[in-house]
Order: sequence, then C-alpha cells, then structure tokens
Amino acid sequence: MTAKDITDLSGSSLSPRGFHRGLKDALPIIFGYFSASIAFGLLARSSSLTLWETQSFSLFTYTGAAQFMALNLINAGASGPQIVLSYGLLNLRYLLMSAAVAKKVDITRIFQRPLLAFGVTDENFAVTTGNEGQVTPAYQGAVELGPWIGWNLGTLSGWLFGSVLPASLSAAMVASLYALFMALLLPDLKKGLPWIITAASAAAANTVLELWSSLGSGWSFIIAMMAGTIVGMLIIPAAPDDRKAAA
Amino acid sequence: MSELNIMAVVFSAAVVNYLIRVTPFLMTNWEKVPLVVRRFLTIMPTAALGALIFPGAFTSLAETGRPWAALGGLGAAALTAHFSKNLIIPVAAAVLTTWAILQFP
Repeated sequence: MTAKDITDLSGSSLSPRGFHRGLKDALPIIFGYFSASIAFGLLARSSSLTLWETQSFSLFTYTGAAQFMALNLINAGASGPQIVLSYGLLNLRYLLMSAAVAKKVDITRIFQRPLLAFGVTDENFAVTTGNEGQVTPAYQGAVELGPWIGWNLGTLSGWLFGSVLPASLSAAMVASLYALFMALLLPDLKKGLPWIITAASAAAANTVLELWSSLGSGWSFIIAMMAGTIVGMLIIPAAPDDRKAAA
Repeated sequence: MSELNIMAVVFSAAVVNYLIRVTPFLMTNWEKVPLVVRRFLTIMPTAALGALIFPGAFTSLAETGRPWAALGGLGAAALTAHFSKNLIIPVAAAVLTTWAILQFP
C-alpha cells in the first residue's frame, strides 16, 4: 500500500492529498455535523441560551459531545468552573488525537501548527489517520474547515428553525453522528479479531462506567479509551511499518 | 441559571480546548518518541471509536423512550459501510433507519 501511495503522490498533478481531496473526504462529516448541530441549536434554544451564546459554543469550542454535555450541565444548574472542568476532561482525548494528527501532516510552515491544531475533532481525526502515508497541510485544513462550517451553519439553523422539525426527525439526526463513528470504525474491525476485541473492550468499559459508576462521562470515556488501547497493545501483533509511520 | 455567565464559560472552555489541541502540535521531535507510544497512538483510534459509539448512540435516544432504535441505525451504518467507501451513504442510511423505527407507535 505504501508503494502505491508514493506513486499516487508523485504521479498525479491533482495533488491527491490536497485541499479538494480533503473537502471530498470531509463531505460526510460536513453532512453529519450539519444535522447533529441542528439538534444542538434546537436544544440550546430550549435551554434558553441566546443565539450568540449558542453560536459561540460552536464557533470557538467546536466540540460535539462536550457542547451537548454543557447544555445538560447548564440545565442541571452546574457552576461555571464545573462546566469548564468537565469540558476539559471530556476533551482530554484530543491530546491523543491531536498528537496522531500532528504526526500525519507534513508541516511545511511553522504557522500551520497553531492553525491546524484548532479544528481537530473525533471525526476528522479518524478520516486523517485513515489515510495511508502522510497528508498535506492543505488537505488537513480542508478536513477541519469544511466540517467547522457545517457545524456552525447547522447550529444557526437549529436555533432559528429547529422548532419546526418533528421530534422523531431531530432525534434521528443525532444518529448521524454515531453512524459516522460506525462507518469509520468498520475498516478497523475488518483487520481481524484483535482489532474487534480492542474496540469491543473500550465500548464495554465505557458502557459499564458511564451507566453504572459515578465517574461522569469525561472520566469514563478517558478510562475506557485507555483500557481498550492497552488491551489492543497486548493482543495486536506489531505491524512492520509501525516504525515508519512516525518517520 | 440567570447567574451563570454563559459567555465566560464559553471563553474558558475554548481556551482549555485549544490548549489541549495545540500542545501535541507544538511537539516536533516525533522521531524521538518511543515505539510503544507510537503503537499506542496507532491503536488508540480503534478503542476511541468503540467508546464513542457505546453507550452514546443509545443514551442519545433516551428522551424518545426507545434507545434500542440506535441498534437499527448502527446496523444500517455498518452494513452500508461494508459495501461502500462513501461515508455519506451510511450516515443517510442510519438517519432514515432510526427515523423509521421511531415512527412505529
């Protein structure tokens, strides 16, 4: 696969890892974010947040699950510091995802680092790391910018027009987020039983911790993700290009 | 709730989020990162996706009273993703399936 990749990179003038390719790869995320953020805008308005407060969440924090969690906490009467702490905990996973993305992008200018760090999310991280070999900064920029626009347009539409949607449709739209996760996970599952066990142990751990412990979803997710990864490291055989991947 | 300054929360959350996201980007010497850490980063996405789906897909439907509708959506997504590399198809299939299940009285 790596050999084919090199041919792709040098043989075509279309820059297979460029901005357009990034937008094309990000299209399902844009669609998924748009529908999921309609739900966010809708819920924020029913939690009596103003349009600007709602939109600011999407513009500046740009983080799906944590925004929904923040609404729950606001409705539950949590304090500001509690909400911010939960935000940080739930998003600690970006530390690892951002590291994996940073490793994948061929940075050419120093300013690309602080810029490309802004928009890393669960979904575009999965798309970027799903590529064989390296991607260009333009590719990564497109993979982050497209979904950010989708997320913000959806937030706006949800706040303004969400109340006209039937309840069952807005509930079903949240499913798009999980469908995206599933579609991104499937290629990993096809790699064999050790990979399936890795995903399943993280899933099982998170379900048990979130539903039957008092840890809260931030800690539950972090612990489950670490546990699943450790299981994977124990049972997945070392790949020959583990070393090359980081070079 | 009126006492909570939402904009202060948003601003603080944005700063916390950005710091988390930018720190790994500012580390440049990946060659010096031990193999075990790189292996961790390779396998972590699979575990993360597993934990992102469960139980979130089900609890997100709690308010409809039918969390099990998520099984239909996830099943439709997995099935279509198996046959198509285009991610829009599983997303659309899952939304339609979940919506259809929620229609039943």
